[in-house]
Amino acid sequence: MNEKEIVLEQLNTIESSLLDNEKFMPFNYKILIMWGFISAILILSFENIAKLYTVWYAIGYIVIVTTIGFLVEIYIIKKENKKYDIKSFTKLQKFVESNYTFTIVFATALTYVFISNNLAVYAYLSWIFMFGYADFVTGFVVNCKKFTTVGIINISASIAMVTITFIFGIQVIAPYIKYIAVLFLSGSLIYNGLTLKGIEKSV
Amino acid sequence: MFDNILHQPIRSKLIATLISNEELPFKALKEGLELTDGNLSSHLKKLELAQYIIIEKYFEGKRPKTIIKISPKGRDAFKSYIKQLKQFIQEN
Repeated sequence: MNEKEIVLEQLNTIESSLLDNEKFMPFNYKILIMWGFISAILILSFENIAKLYTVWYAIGYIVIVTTIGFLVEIYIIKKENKKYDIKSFTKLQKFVESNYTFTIVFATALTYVFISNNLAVYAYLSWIFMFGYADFVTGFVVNCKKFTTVGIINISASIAMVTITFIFGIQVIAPYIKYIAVLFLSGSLIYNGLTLKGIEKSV
Repeated sequence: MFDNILHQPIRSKLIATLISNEELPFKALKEGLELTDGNLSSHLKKLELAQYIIIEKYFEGKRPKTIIKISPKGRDAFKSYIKQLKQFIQEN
């Protein structure tokens, strides 16, 4: 075998072991920081939009902003994948993307129901819970403890706050709920983005 | 010309597997790469000596466990190794 054949074989070996490995997931953790800011903007503004206009406007606003977020994310992932000559998404990337897409769709639908019934507090809590659960599942699947831990923290916090509202009433946390949601949702995304950036799970 | 440590099918496969995971137990690597204990150990030793991986040993109860992680140096080396391979193909 000449040198070129050896090199080609070596590249094939690496590529197949990366691609065959369903756990392979090139990822740019800047995406998490971006979602951290997007979620903070949404949390702090969407209720006001619902009050100023209608709930449907607020839902449309969530859909537009999250769609922009997804488009930027797809662009970044594709750019990241190019580095490994991956033309489409890996199985794991598809799973993670679907996981968060379904979560956003369901959380948005729930938000409509809660806001329409003047139960905005539960809209925020449902987002914290659902994204906590999505992080928890993602953490297990991508073998990343930080995601799992953040997921457990968010799930526990949302359950604790729901319990508080049952015992003491919604009013107890209503004035602070936006900031609590920013802390748990946006905070966890930015925290993961910043801390995981140093150990990017990519070549 | 190429990194002698990585320019070997088993070791490059090993690093490719480690790069996709935060950490992997010795047993998982052994099963995944279908290697014997001795074979895997000798490759890991070479990678550890080059500081491309970090091997952590600890006890879980009375059972010894070995966890293998890729080091930042290993990531960088693998990155530039792939770059070199691609460059070689382009030039030849």
